[in-house]
Amino acid sequence: MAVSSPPNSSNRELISSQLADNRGIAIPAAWRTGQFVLMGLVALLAIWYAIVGYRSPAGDTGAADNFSPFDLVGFAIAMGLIFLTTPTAWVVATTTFHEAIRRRWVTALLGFAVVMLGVSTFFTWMQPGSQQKFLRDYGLGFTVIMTLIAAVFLGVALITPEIERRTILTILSKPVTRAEFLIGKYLGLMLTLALNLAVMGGIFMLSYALFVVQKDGADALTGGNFFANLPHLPQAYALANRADGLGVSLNGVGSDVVNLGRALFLHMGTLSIMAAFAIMLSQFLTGITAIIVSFVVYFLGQSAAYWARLSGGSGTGTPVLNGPIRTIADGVYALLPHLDTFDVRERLVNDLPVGLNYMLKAGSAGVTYTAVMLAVAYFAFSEREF
Amino acid sequence: MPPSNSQGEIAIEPVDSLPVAAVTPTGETALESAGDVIIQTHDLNKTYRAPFSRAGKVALHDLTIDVKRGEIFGLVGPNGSGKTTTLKLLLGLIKPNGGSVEIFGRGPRDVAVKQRIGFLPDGPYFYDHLNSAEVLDFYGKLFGFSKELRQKRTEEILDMVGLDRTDRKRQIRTYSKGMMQRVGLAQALLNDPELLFLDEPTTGLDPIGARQMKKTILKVRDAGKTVLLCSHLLADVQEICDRVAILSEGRLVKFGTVPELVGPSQHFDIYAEGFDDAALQKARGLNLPFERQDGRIRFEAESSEGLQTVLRFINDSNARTLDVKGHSETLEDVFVRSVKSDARLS
Repeated sequence: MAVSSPPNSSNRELISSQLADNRGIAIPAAWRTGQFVLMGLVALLAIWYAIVGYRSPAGDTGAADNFSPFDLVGFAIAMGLIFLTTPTAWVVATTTFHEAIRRRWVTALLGFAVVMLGVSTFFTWMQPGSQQKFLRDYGLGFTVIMTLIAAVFLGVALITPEIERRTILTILSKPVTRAEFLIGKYLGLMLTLALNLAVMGGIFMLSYALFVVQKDGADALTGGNFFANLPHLPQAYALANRADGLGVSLNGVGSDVVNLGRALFLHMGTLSIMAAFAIMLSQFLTGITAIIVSFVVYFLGQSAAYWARLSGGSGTGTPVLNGPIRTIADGVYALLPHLDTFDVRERLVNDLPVGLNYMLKAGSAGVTYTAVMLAVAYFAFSEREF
Repeated sequence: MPPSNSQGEIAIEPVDSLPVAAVTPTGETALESAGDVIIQTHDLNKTYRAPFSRAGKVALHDLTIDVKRGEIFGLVGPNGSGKTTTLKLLLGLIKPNGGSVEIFGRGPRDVAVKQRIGFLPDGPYFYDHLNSAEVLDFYGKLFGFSKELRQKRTEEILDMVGLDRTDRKRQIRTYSKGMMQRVGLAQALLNDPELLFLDEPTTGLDPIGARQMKKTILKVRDAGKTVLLCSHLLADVQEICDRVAILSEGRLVKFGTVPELVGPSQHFDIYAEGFDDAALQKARGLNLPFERQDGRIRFEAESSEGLQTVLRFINDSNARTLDVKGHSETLEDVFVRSVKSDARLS
């Protein structure tokens, strides 16, 4: 039978006092300050992007150079989204994050990736003579694919299951606006992807660094065996850093790792765009169609430079196409996310630096495209009926 | 202390100990509508259309109702009558094609309105990877409750709905339908709402659980709250609702207090035999409703005057009265009659 709990007048007062302002979660002053600081930074980025970024040589900066009204709108929307990111949206985000990391397939995907990256050094025999290059290609490629799968699948399955399982009915009857819900879901997804990327990237960079160090450093001490060399790593470092300059060369492992870190950081731009794109598509298409279209757009976006060459855009010289077909190519180039901007694997292979200038511009492109996609998703979501 | 019963029915503690606050003091907030009316719809219309199509199904047609503070308001109707559509319009989950909705004098999507309502959907679902305590903690966060209040309130409300402490640690996907309904009720009452929306609240509950749910609804009303209830169970609606709106094919066909709808009238069935064809022809001419039943004739009368008329007719026809059965009209009778009448009209 039921258990009686005594009436608790202190709770009633607490509830009354916490409901008194009638505005959902009160927004602390510090939170608002943080929002305005972030909005200011986005505004500064927009100004910098419009003035400095636009004038810089196209060859160095790639597709992110194209400054258009689309970018301006994107920056404006991004600032609006930051303003709408209330503590309520953050509550939705953290719950989405917890839900995502408890999904079995997400854990399995992460576990598989960690194992594959952890043993990546084993596969270096396949490319004798350029093991480091192989490791960089393999590690980055594997991380990119795995996180991309997570971004698209989780993005498509972010809102629709809430509607199908009707969990959205109870959530939207609480003090949550639809904008807060959508932003919260997106942020939760990005937290999940960031965690995945951090774990995979961390394992990858660690195994890469260990491989290079043991190969060039500890081999001198013990020869060959990676695991046998682990205890000798400090000695290998000591050898490499001998003050007399006679140390073993570590092939610039430090700068390599920094570049790999930057490449992985830039990949967050791809993930952000693809997650927002998948969320947007899921508002209009069924799950499987949205997944297929997302991957098609990813592959088209990866070849954005090709479309630019077809239309002669982005300072790429004489257009290959002319007439109406060129107009179509122009349209495709303008609408496509320029994902090749975020993929610096080729630059790394060719030992080109991934400078701060480049990262800022690519980051700006990521922010604007994500913001526009989320805005489209919001307009569709706000009209949806449950 | 954990409740002893946790496998299907909702267990509710006695009326006095329901942890709901008293009526919100007048003037506490600017969110008030005129007078005691806290829900007002005016000529509310909703048509569902397929994409890229002008044709559509009218789900609700010119609905005008008001719900007063402190009452239990019942919304009843057959499947497809527009009950759930009305509820969704009131909660801002769908948009009307015409007309208006005001709750506490504001639009239904207003966050300030949502702060003061609770909603138990029909067959509630939650994030199934969370346990019930985590679900309530999540909803508590959305209300802006402090950690201390969330913990206290979660304990209190899960005790109240009778969810066993060991069950609280299990993921919701392992719960039975009755346990889900308890969690649904818990989340609806979490913020001590002034206005509670309940959609088929006894779905999935056994008779004891259903009875306890009714007690809870009455307790909420007794605490000065308002309840809007959608249900198919007309006996329950008649028992606990103060006012009722009967919908049929998207139209309001009856609206009023239960005594107004049911009325003081009595219904009589009079069984008789020994009529010839001429007498029955005469009965038709006098508009006396009757039917043949197991070789007997059953007359119907809606009042004591009608009863007297039928008895006089039987006597004049030299027939024999076998039995007279009288019974008070129920909401179900009113409902069936209203819906049939509306179907004939349309």
